[in-house]
Amino acid sequence: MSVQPGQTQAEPRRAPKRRKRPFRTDQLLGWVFLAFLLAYAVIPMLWMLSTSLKTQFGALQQPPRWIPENPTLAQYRLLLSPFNDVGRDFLRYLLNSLWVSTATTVLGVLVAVPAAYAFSRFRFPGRNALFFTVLVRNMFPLVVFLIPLFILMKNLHLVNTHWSLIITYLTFGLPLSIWLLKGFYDNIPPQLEQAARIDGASRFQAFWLIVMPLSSPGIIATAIYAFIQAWNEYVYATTFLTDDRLLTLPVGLQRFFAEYSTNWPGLMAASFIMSVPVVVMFLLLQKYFVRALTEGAVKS
Amino acid sequence: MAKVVLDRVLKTYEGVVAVNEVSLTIEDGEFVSLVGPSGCGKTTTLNLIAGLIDITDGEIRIDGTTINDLDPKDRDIALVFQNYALYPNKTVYDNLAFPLRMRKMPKADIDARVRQTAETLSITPLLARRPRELSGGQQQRVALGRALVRNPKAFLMDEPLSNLDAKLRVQMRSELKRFHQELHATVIYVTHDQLEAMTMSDKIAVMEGGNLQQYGPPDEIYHRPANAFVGTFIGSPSMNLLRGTVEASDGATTVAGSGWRMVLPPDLTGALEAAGSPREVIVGCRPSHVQLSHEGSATGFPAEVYTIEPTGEITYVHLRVGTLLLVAAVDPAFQVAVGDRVWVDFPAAWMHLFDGTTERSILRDRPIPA
Repeated sequence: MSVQPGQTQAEPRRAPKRRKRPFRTDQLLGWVFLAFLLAYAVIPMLWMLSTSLKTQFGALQQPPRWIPENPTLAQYRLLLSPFNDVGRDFLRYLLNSLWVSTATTVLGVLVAVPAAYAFSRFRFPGRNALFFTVLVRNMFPLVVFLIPLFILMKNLHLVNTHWSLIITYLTFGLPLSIWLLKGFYDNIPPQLEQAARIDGASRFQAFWLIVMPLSSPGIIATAIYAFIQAWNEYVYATTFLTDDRLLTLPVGLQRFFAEYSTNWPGLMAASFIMSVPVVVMFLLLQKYFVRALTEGAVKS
Repeated sequence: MAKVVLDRVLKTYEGVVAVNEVSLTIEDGEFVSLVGPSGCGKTTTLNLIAGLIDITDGEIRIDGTTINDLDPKDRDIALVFQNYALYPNKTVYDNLAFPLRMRKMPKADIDARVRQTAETLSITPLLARRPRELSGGQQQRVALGRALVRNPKAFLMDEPLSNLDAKLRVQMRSELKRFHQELHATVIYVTHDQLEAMTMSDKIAVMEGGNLQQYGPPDEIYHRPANAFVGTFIGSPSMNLLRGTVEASDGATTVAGSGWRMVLPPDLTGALEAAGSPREVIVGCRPSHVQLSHEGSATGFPAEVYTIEPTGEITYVHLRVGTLLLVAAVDPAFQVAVGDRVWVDFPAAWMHLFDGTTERSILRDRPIPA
């Protein structure tokens, strides 16, 4: 059989027109708004960085200075060195936080992916009721669950373990993860899996080889979201954990507030280090994140 | 290639019948179209053959082997989807190679087969591209290639041309037909487009409401529809149908409805008696067979010209008879104006007759006029 492949016609390119752009008020307002948002997000970060490089004296100086007079990395050296008490504690909190957040993320993805896929693809009795129940959790503020969950964890002998936090964070994170991922799977035509199954794949292979790669932006976005939530959480961590060695970073940072004085540069340096994993993760994966939030939400 | 048999295939969804005991035999190398309006069960039937949905009752056999309980992957059939269902994250090459990789074919063989298939379909220059970088026609070709690449026992196609623009559709239609002729492939083709069914098929299965209405070669379906539904569904514009009461007087048999009366040709009265002399019948005639004249005729009836649609080649004249509308396809030379009174004749040779109650054809055994 000899046939020509269908040809696509290129769009005729328009000659670029140079026109004086008229002044647009709405555009200007847009820029002002963006500038405001940027300042809102960046100024605290810069202040944090600046203070972390100051000495204790410099941090309390009036009027405050943006650029530290004698910048020093002393606080970072102290925090990141396992050879002193402050550093040992800080690194332990960092590891605790990493463990809790990573476990929450990994377990969350392992549960959310099959759950979202099932909600998207299968019609089973009680499907809508179950999906609704999953979402209802999101209608209550977190604090409402604090005492009931504490009692539950106590009865399960999980208070003062990291598992109490991991389980709690999963409870809170999963509904949104499932919701987000379901939107993603809804957008993947089921014919792709059917095609794969006819092409020789088993049901699981069709999911693993075809659907999974297509939904990876969604999974990555969900994972980032779950990680950040767990990484930043304070209220439950401070309630469920009393053992000093188990504290996570947000709770551990408290120790920089002493009764009579606060080590501001130390606190800021610790905060800065704490924000690094989140920022790095975001920078590396932001294109997936944006794609997930736009593609998953809007049906094409 | 293989022979596919559907034996009283039943599919119900929570008590609702989607496919009602359909029996079909598709011979080795035959091109069979399943055609019918939306929701008639044609795609469900195709998915049952593919194994994408479970059969409720009955049997599907390929070359004598019952495949009811086989996974889609073990049925050795290929399906071309309406939306092509190309794997968007794979290149054209990998799309074509996927079915072979799933069958654990050696790498060198895969490469040879993929390249050969690409050559056949003239898509070799596209092998490195991804589906979204292809035009609709190219995607269509790749979808066909993915089916072709592994020499399946049968090809199933689910409205593969419906996403293409009109011009490309006509081109691909003839290509598909040639592809079938060259490969002697067994093809089961689902379409709602009766023209596609007519032009490509060896046999057509007309479905409606989950029931198989008629199964036969295009000529037979067109000229000897089994019932009024098949008569109107196949052919465009649709067959004209007039429901009327049979009256015998003065040795002539006439059929009359509101605003019309026609004398039934003598050779049809026998068939009418053989069918148990129903009191009510439906008389049918395709627009292209309707004869119009300005002078009165003994066998016909008058009608008023309602609208005129010239297409250049043929002019469609819409007529009003009482509250009914009829269509006649006439030569553009026929001079007529809106509001004119013309005479309508259904020539005996091209007349269809259906039982008024069962809507079944009374003339199925009549030979097709040459």
